Order: sequence, then C-alpha cells, then structure tokens
Amino acid sequence: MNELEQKVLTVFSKVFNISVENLSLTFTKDDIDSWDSLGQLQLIMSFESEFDIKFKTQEINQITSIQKSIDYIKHLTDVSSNNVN
Amino acid sequence: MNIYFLGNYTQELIAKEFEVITKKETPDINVFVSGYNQYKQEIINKESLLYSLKPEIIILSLDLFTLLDDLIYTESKMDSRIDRIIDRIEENIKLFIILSDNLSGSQIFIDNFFFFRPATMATLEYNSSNSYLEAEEISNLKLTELARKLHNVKIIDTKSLIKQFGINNLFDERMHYIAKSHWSLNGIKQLSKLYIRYINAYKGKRKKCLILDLDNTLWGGIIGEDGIENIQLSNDGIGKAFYDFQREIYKLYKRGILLVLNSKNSKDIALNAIDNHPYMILRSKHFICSKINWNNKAQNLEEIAQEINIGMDSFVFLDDSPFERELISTRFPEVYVPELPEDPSEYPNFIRKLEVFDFLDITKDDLHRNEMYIENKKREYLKTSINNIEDFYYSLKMIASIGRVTDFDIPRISQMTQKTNQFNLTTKRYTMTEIKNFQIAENYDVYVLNLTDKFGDNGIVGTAIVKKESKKTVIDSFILSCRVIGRTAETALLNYIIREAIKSGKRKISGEFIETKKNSPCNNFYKSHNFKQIRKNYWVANLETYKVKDIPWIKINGTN
Repeated sequence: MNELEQKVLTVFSKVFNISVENLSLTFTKDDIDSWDSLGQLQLIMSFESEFDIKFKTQEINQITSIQKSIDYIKHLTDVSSNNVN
Repeated sequence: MNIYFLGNYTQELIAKEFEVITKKETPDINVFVSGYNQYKQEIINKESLLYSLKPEIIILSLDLFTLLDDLIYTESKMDSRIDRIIDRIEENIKLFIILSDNLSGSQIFIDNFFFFRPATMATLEYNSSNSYLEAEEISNLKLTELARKLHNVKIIDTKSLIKQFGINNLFDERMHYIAKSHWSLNGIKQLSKLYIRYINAYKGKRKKCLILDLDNTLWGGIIGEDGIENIQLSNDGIGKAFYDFQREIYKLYKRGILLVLNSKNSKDIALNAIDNHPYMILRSKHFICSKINWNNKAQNLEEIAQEINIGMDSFVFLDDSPFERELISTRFPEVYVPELPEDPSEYPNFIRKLEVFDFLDITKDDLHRNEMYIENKKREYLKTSINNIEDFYYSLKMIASIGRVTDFDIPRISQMTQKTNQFNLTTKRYTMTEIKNFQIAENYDVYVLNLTDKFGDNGIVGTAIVKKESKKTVIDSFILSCRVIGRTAETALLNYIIREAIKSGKRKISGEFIETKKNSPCNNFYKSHNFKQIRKNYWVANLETYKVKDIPWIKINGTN
C-alpha cells in the first residue's frame, strides 16, 4: 500500500470510526454502514483539510468507494502540484 | 442534559461537531436535531418530539436566504419587498414567543440574523428602498427587542463570526447547494465553539478572580525606577493603552469578578501610584486582596487563595513576565495563565477577547459580589476583635429571610447547586429546569435562605431541597455559600425546615452526607444538630422528641 492509500484509509477510519485493519481498499459505500449523505460530507471535508484540495460540487457525490476517493485525490493533488511547477 | 437544534437548514454536521467537543467535559449530554426545516411544525405541534423531550437547551438557527428565498427573487412591486421581508420575520418571532411560552423551563438560544453572502445588491445596497442589509438590521433589532422581554431567550451573536473570520472562511456555497447548509468545515468548528461559549456562560462556568501585576501590566514602565510622573498611563499615546486596559478590567470588576494584585514592588511606592496617579482607574479599594512585596509570586498566590477562599481553578493570572507566568503555571496547573501580548496596544483587546469571564445575565449578586467580599473582611476583623463567639454573632445583627423558592430565585439556586463545593451535604448538581420541576412538584420543597447583617445584604446564601414522604421529610440537598460559613445560618435554615415538617405532621427527618474532596466544612452538620446516624452517612432525627438548637442571635423572617 502506498502512502496516499494509507492516508486515505486513515481518514476513512477517523470519519466512520472503523479501525484501519477492518477497512479494505475494495470497500464501497455499501460496505460501510455509517457512510450516508452526512458521512459523505464529513468525508469530503476531511479529505479537503487533510490533503489541502478542493472538490468540485459535481465531484462530491461521485466519491462512492475507497478506490474512487484515492483516484480523485491523486488527480486533484497532481493538478495542484502541476500548478506550482 | 438534552440539547435540541432547531432550524431551517441542515444542522447535523454542526450538532455532531458540537457533541464531540462537549462530550469531553459533559459525558451525559444528548444532542437532538430537528428534521430539515421542521422548526415551525416542531414549535406549533404540541405533540412534537421537542415538547415531549423538554430539552434543557434549545439552539434555534434560521438562515435568512432560506427564510426569504421567495421574496428575494420576487418580481412583484419592488417598493413593498422590504415590508414583506419584515412581515416574514415577525411571523417567525411569533413562533419564538410560542416556543418560549411552551418551554418556560428551558433555555432558548437564537442565532441573530445575517446573509451569508456579500451584499446582494452591490452598490445599490443601502441606496435603494429594498436593501437586504437594512432588512437584516431591522430583523435583528426586532429579535433583540423580543429576547429582552422573554426570560428564557438569549441571542447568540453568530453574525460576529463574519467580522472575525470572513465570509469565505466560514461558508461554502457547495454545501449550500448539495447539503442545504451554508457552513464550511471551519465555519462548523467556529460555530460549535461559539455555541459552547454561550452554554458555558449560561451554566456559570467562568473564572472568578483576576490576579494582576503592576509594572508593564497595569502601567508601562517600572514604578520603583521611573517614578509616579514617568510611568506610562495617560489619556493619549501608549499611556492610553494602559488606561483603556484598566477600563476593561474595571468592567469585569463591575460584573463581580474579583481583582487581586500580585506584584514585586515596594509596597508604599506602588500604593502611592495606585491611589494618587491621576489616570489610575483601579484604586486600592477595587482589589479584594493585594500582595505587593518581594516574595515569590507562587507563595503570594497560595496566600491569596487561602484569604479569599476560592479554588485554584477560579483564578486567572496576568503578568507581562514570561518567567512569572511559567512559575505559576508550573506550580499551579489549575490556574489559567494566558500569555499577555508583547505590545501593550493589544492589551485592551486582549481583555475583550478573553473567553473566561462570559456572562449571559448579570444577577444582583454578581453586581454586589465585590462589596460583599469586602464586607466579609470587615466581619472577619470583628471576629478577631471579639473574644466570645456568641457576642460576635450578636454584634452582626443578622436577619435571615427564609421561604420557598420563587421563579426569580431559580437561576441563583441552580447556580448554587452547580458551584458550591464546601458546605454542600450531597453535592447534587441541578439545572434550572430541574429546580423548576422541584418547585412545582407536590412532594418537593425548595427553600431559600437570604441573610442580611449590619454590613449589608449577603444575598441568597443558602438553599435546601427536601422530599416530603408521608411521615418523613428527606433532605435531598442542603447548601450554604462559603461567604457565610461559621455564622450559624445553616441552623436557621434547618430549624425552618424542621418547623415546616412538624407543621405538616411529619414524624421524622432524615438526610445523607455524601463526602467529597471539598465538603469537609459540613461533615459534622447532622451530628452537631442532634441527628442520629443509623447507617454510614445516613442521619435521622425523630421530630417528636427533637431538640431544636437555639440561635437567638439571628432574627428570622419567614417569607411565606
């Protein structure tokens, strides 16, 4: 597991109160009970403050699995580091 | 404790954040959130969850954009828009009155009104007869006017967060569109903190005493070296900063915060400046106690705590010297030792921003607290100058007024149960709602003791909550303020309860003593009042044979 994946899992663990060992990269919304619409917002807000990124409004509801979170965050952090260069 | 969030937008995230922070200090808290935009139904429908729960605290928050959405974008006659906005606000204010009436034992907090976006009419704002900001201001005036009339409604100045943090920092348009809540992550944090601040003020959680240094704190410079003419304290320039700083502290003094000096100086030189400098606001008479000497400040503080008889966690220590601050915070970690700003021009703002002296109401007792402590000192002096203790009691010319609790006393009685630790037989903490429930319950009585003496009115200094069983009176709580410990006032209160019990045909009176770290001043109470211990810490007296302890030096006024 790379560093980004690990960080993403830590955020999931904090937001949904599940230990990292009990999370899997293959989890989707259906695998986590407390991942409801409120959970979605908390998750997005936590990602934004953890990775210093900002999701577009339309992107927020597309984060429906752990893998998709990682992909989006990777994309968003790449964009912002490209801007710096 | 139940806290209920009511509003017209999604408050869940705020409630969650609020709960997480509050649970650390108050584990027994339950947070409820009304359904999205359900506040009207909850208030109007007598069967709603809100009314069946009777929460101790209600936080009501209305977003103006949501409230006025249809009016803001309406194309109808422009000149009537502001009137329609005001009508809408007034409809809501009527709901607040219903809520306050239906839950008269609850504390209701209402966020003041604001638009979470920049002025919507750009340069026309304030220059048209349809200014939104004018509508916002009128709404807030009406709200403030209302809150002053209702005993259980207080306004939360949420709008002030915008001044402090800015619109971009507090709000998130994305949240407004996808979650029907306009707050950003930071906004949620700041709003929760603000709510907690108001609730702490409501609960009376605040510091009691401010300990002050002199040189480079109350004035600029060092009095022992610069002399009274050269210290910085005046009505212009940097001297004005120290003058304003003192004026801010004086405001706290007027609210009943006790002031103390702890300064390394030659006493005479310092006192001369304090009492004779033309721009000194705080004179010696404003300090309940002064330690101006060359001793270690921690040792001084220890003596101060003993003299004014309050716990270390009630003190705030202000000193410009990092060394002294370090000394105090290491030696007494319970004392709050904030860092004074480096630049004295920031001193006045520093006091304004201190969040440890928050009030929601100023009670009569708060206003007179400083006088009362000083009167107490005179009494102490009298005590040492009279040999016979009974002569001392007589010399005080005490008058006790005892009666059942009135609505007016409820905040003070709740405050006493929450904050009194020393003369408190059972240390049961009760909220205003709980006291109100005791007051109206048939099988409970709440008694209030007020004590006056030749030095002045001590205010409400005692309370007792008793449960009336068929043949027996059970003392649930019995509390005496530390201001009047050692003056037999507790006997006056107990005798009154006993007389009432006998009058209503009770045969026995019983009570419990629950020991805590702090309540040793009353551990002998039942024994010294002729109660018998029938099991550990459980005391009973037989009313048919009870020997009343006479206290002829206190005149009793029954008030009902």
